[in-house]
Amino acid sequence: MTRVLIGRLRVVVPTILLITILTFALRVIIPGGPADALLGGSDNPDTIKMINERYGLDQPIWQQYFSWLGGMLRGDLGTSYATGLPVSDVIGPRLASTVEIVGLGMLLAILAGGAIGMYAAIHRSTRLGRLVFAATGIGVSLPVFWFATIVAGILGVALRILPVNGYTPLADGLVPHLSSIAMPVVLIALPSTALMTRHVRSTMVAALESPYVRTAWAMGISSRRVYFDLALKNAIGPVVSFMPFLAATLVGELVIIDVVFVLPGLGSAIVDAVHFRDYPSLQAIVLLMSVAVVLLSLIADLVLTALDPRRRKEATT
Amino acid sequence: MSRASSSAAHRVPDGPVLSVRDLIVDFGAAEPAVNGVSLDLWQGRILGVAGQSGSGKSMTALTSLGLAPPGAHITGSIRFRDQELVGVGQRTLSRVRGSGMTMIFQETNAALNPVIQVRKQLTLAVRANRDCNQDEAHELVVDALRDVRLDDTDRVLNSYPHELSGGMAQRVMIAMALVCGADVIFADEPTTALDVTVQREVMEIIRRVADEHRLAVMLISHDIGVLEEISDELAVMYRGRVVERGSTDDVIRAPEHPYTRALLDSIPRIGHELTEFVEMPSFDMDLTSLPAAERIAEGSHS
Ligand SMILES: Nc1ncnc2c1ncn2[C@@H]1O[C@H](COP(=O)(O)OP(=O)(O)O)[C@@H](O)[C@H]1O
Ligand SMILES: [Mg+2]
Repeated sequence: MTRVLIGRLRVVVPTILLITILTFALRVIIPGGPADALLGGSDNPDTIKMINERYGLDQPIWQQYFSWLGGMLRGDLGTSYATGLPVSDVIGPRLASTVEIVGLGMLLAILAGGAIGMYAAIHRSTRLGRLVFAATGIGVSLPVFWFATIVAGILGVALRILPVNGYTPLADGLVPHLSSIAMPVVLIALPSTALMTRHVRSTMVAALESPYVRTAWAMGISSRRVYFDLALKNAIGPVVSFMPFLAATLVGELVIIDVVFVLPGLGSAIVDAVHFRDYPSLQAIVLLMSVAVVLLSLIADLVLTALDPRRRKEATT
Repeated sequence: MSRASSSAAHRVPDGPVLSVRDLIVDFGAAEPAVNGVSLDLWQGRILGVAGQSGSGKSMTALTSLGLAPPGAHITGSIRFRDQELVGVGQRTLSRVRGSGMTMIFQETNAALNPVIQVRKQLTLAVRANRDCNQDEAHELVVDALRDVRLDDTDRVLNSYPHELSGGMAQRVMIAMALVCGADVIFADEPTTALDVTVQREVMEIIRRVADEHRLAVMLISHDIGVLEEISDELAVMYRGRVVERGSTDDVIRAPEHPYTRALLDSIPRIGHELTEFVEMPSFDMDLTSLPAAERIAEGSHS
């Protein structure tokens, strides 16, 4: 297992370094700086110089990169251009709703996508099975912004079934809390549920049409066991390795969901950061999300190694 | 190796345990995959089925088990004991599979489940077909492994399929068929992926378990040379039909059909000069002018 871990780290560490470079490049590529953001178009050269010095922008770019990277490694996410406060103070309070909505969305995508995918695989030659599969095609390409706006308009504004007035913390009561996140969770999970369904279906179909499942049929193993014991066990590996992709898809919808439902999450923090040209915050959030996805893929790899006897063997020899 | 004599030790069975008549398996292609096959399997006897790739050997076996791929249109008759299987539902078929008839496949590395231990796979096969507790199941499994000469039972049971050699994996497969308690075993090219010495060992095991457990075996191979040594009877298939059928000695000594002769000529024989290895001739003849397979098999020797 340690062998696998070391092997994977040889890929993960350079990947994360590359991400830091790309993230840092955001600052270079996008025009404008803290002087623009803070002065709102004033062009007093002395003031601009003073601000640039204060944020270290007068130094060579590689030096800026390394001091930024060094700060990240120490847990210092930098200073927000917009508020002058530490970036961690900007991000911290926004983590709760994002972690909750992305986490629950992922859980929903896994459970619903898993169940529907199993159904579509087992009933792949029936009309309903094919219909379910076709429906996932729509789910994958659904424009979430448009759809979320319509759903929020119907359920929240017209019918007033669910609130659309932002995030109610758990401290204000369980029911208000859950009803405030219900629509965001379901909507953020829609595309990834469709993706998960397709993925589970295709891996299950591959397992069900494999020689070893044919052997199981020939040996008189019951269909319940074939589906839920044997084929499922063989499909779990590919499904685990799909998790980072699923997470990335969910995170990709976060901005839209935060905006539509006025949630105080990292998605709206990104929007604010772009609006105020607050690059330190933007960089920190993008980096945080990317690293989370990369780490998830590392975890997925380790889980796969633990699950698959063939990989386990490679790992010990 | 003793052939026909071995089954004579048992009492003569009253009738075939599996009887296939005029079986047609049609996918809507120009020619049905199986085109009017009739065969009988008897307890304690091995029927060798030879024929080139694509001649419908596997499809005949899979269809008998109710495992024909979706889209197959099946007509004719498949009788297992007193039960007609053509046209019955999956429920009946799955009751027959395992405890009545089962099948072992080539490429055991793919045919055994890669992520499940051998112990679990064998136990699942026992549990699916027999009403017994864990100890009895374990006993059955160990007996079956001894039957196939896998005496290091603990090591085998604790292995995953990829940790076994091809020969061992195929023997595990045979053991799995044995623990099901089936009377009929279809063995589809069980030794094709194995090297020659291992191939011989596995064939001897099949012959021995067929004798000891009075199994009716349909042994499929594209290589008639492999079949002639251990089969009691031979059937030769060509383009979905049985073109020749009879006792192994008769078929080998006096092949009636030109296709059988071509198959036999392609086997390198000890004593013959091995200067040239005759490739399987590509064969294309008009089957409609031939007498029905049934008549070839029964009438040709009279
Ligand atoms: N799923 C399928 N759909 C249509 N035709 C098939 C299918 N599977 C096999 N066949 C056809 O059935 C014929 C017999 O195949 P098979 O029984 O596998 O031959 P053999 O075992 O003698 O090599 C082949 O011509 C093949 O093309
Ligand atoms: Mg075949």
